[in-house]
Amino acid sequence: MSDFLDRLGEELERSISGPTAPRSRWRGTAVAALAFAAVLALGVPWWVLGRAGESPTASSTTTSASSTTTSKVEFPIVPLPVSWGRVNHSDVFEGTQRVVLSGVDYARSEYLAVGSVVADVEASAVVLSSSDGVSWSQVETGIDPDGIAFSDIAAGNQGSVVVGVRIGGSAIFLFRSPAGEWVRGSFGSGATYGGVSVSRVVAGDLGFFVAGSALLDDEGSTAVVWRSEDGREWSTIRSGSFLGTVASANAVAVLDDNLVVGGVWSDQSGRSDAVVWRAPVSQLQKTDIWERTVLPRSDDSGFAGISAIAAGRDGVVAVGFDADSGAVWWSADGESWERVKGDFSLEGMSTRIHDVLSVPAGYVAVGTRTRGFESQKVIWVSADGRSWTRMDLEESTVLGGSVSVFDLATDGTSVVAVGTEKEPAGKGVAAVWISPPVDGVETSTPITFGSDEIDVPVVSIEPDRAVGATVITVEVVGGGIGPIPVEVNGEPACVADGVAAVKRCSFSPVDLGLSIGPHIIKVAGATDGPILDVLPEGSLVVTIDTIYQATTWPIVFAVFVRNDGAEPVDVSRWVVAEVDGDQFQFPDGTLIPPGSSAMISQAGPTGSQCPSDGGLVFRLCNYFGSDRVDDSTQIWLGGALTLFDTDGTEIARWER
Amino acid sequence: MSDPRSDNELMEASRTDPAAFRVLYDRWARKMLNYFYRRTFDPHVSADLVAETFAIAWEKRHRFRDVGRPAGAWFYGIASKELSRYRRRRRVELTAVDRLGLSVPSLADDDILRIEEMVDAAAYREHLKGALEKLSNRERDSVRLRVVEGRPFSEVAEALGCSEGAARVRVHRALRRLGDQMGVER
Repeated sequence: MSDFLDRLGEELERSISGPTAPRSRWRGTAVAALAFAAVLALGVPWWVLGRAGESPTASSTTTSASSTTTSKVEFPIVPLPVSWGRVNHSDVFEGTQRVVLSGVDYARSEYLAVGSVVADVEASAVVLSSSDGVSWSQVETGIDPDGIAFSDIAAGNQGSVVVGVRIGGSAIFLFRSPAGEWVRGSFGSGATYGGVSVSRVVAGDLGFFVAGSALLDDEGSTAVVWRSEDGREWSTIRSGSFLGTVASANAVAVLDDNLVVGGVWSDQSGRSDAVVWRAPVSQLQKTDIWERTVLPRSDDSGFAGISAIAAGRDGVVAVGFDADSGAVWWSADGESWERVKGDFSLEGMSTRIHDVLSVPAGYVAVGTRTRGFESQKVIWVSADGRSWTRMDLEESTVLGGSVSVFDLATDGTSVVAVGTEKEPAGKGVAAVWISPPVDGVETSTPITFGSDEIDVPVVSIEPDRAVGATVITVEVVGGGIGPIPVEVNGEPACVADGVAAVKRCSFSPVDLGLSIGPHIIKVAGATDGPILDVLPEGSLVVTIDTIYQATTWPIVFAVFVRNDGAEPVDVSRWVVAEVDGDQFQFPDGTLIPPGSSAMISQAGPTGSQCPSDGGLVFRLCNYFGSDRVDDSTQIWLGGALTLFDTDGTEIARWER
Repeated sequence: MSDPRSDNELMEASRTDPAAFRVLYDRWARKMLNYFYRRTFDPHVSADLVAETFAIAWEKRHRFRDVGRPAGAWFYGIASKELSRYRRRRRVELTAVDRLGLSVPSLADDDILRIEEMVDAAAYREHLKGALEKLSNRERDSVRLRVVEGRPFSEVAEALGCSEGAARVRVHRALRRLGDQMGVER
């Protein structure tokens, strides 16, 4: 044995025999967001995954188009937020001022929104709180709000940080400890720079990062990043690559172990570009380590910039503007970026995308398009960050005026957007929207997406020789993103899927138990299901085809073993094994009917009994231990899952 | 006197007994080091990967279930995952080591020599050399340019007088043949 291994063994023995050291590495929001990489729901019917708005413990009866097997799930999936409701809370502010909410975040069972009350050239800071995103109240900070405008808030388990500016003065922050104590501080002033502003703050396990900018005393400006481990003491991160004729950091996110900062940068040529600065988190103070990347433009006219960045599954999305159009960029690694094509502009209006949020089913972005003094909010959704759909929502206004939306947050179940509504006279109210809508909230009607009123032509009724049954193919004309569930007589029949405006699916009337007679075929509500993907190729009878994430936080995963064959498969004592040895063994008597899936999930509300319901839904008993929760190192990062039969023969394999 | 318990029994015992885990470490550390070194040829990287592997194993020991598969396969599973992560990110992430508060000893020159002796690196290099010699000149050149010299595919293509796409294919095929020659399992 080498000396090194002996010494390492001694160190190991010392470490494991003593108290466990605390975590010291950042497993921040972006890393957690990257865990969303495992959320694609491959081939699982929408109704298996649950509807938006159901409680985490709600049950739903599931019926496969090719099987009469009934399954039950105990938690829903967070869908893409395509249905929104306007929260009318104008009673929070009354008077003639205009209230602008510019930032919102969620932590510790509470939404916090910040902004300012604007009257002429004066501003007064406001902080709002809500436990559900619907009922809001002002928060008393104990700090004189006059002359302060807040721009953003980041809420984390270690506390919350609000950033903003004192009008005519310095950039400031408020820190609220978990105990509720508020502390005010400054990021610096003209003593350091000619003037300082702050745009965005994010929270993670390593603390807080703030993106902003500063005017230089001599000429030009510089992007600036501030970092704090506790929200109270801040250090300034500078780099030569931050300097420019115009330079501003507007967004910040963590991708893997890199800090990715987005903003605007121009040199003396007068061209102003959207740029990303990037550096390893462990070496942020090395001024020469920052790499600046100019993001691709549609053309070279006008200005471009980044407003927000969100790390999600498979990559990172930056949003902002490019000339008069909203703009979205996507990158797998934060280093190489592509400009995403999409419906981000409207002739005659100027569009800006202000924020993007990673949610389990993909991304949601919000922005504002303006013409003169008129403005409208715009919402886009995407399953993968590269293909986006704009949602035109019938606007529900309080004052009948212009509406703008600036920031997004999620509690894991709902998504909240904040902004402002302004009537022509200048009066305004804080504007809050929530998705999915809840009782008591005025609902916006999605126009782009399917609804009950969509015409559903039955394009063909033909025999399917493979199964010896009549199969009805439904063509759904409605477009939009994601799958569209189709019901027959109010019962799930199939999920129409496909790219762009026409989606198709088929079902067997025999399997649905339909007798001769008229039957109502219709699209089931809005397209609030997760995106379905194609099934794995191959002729395997049993496949591991789905790992997804549920709404509940912490993360909940499930594995589906699907029988794609025509005959039932007895999987008694078969084993699903992860590459590192975690295993689940099906109990005796487990039979998966054709077209059905057995689901294995983490321990649910019923505890760790296995199986929990005597059907095809199994609770964690000896698989994916609960310590996996909140431990991103335990979440699949490319590891394979393998299905073995009782002889140890590999039957199927799943690998991201 | 060596511990008479099997690896699987030690894994079970290690849930409450750190000493049992130390016995497992002593049994498997050298094999893990061997495993990593033969795949990275870097003693420092291998040392870190060994430390991280055992730190993870310690953290996850209570999730080990004795269902007939040897505990060694479990260690190799973790090692394989960490090796993949290292190759993907080009660095060793000592995440579990940090959490555990484990201090990884630094490697002295003597340690490196011992590791190379221990894993019989010289013989392995000869093996590699022999495998390289069985490649065609063009395949060998493509591996040298891309893997040894680390040149971008555009330069590899220029040097080989082919398109960048063709260069990628050549390097891929050459590495695959090299792996076959060396008996690399896939």
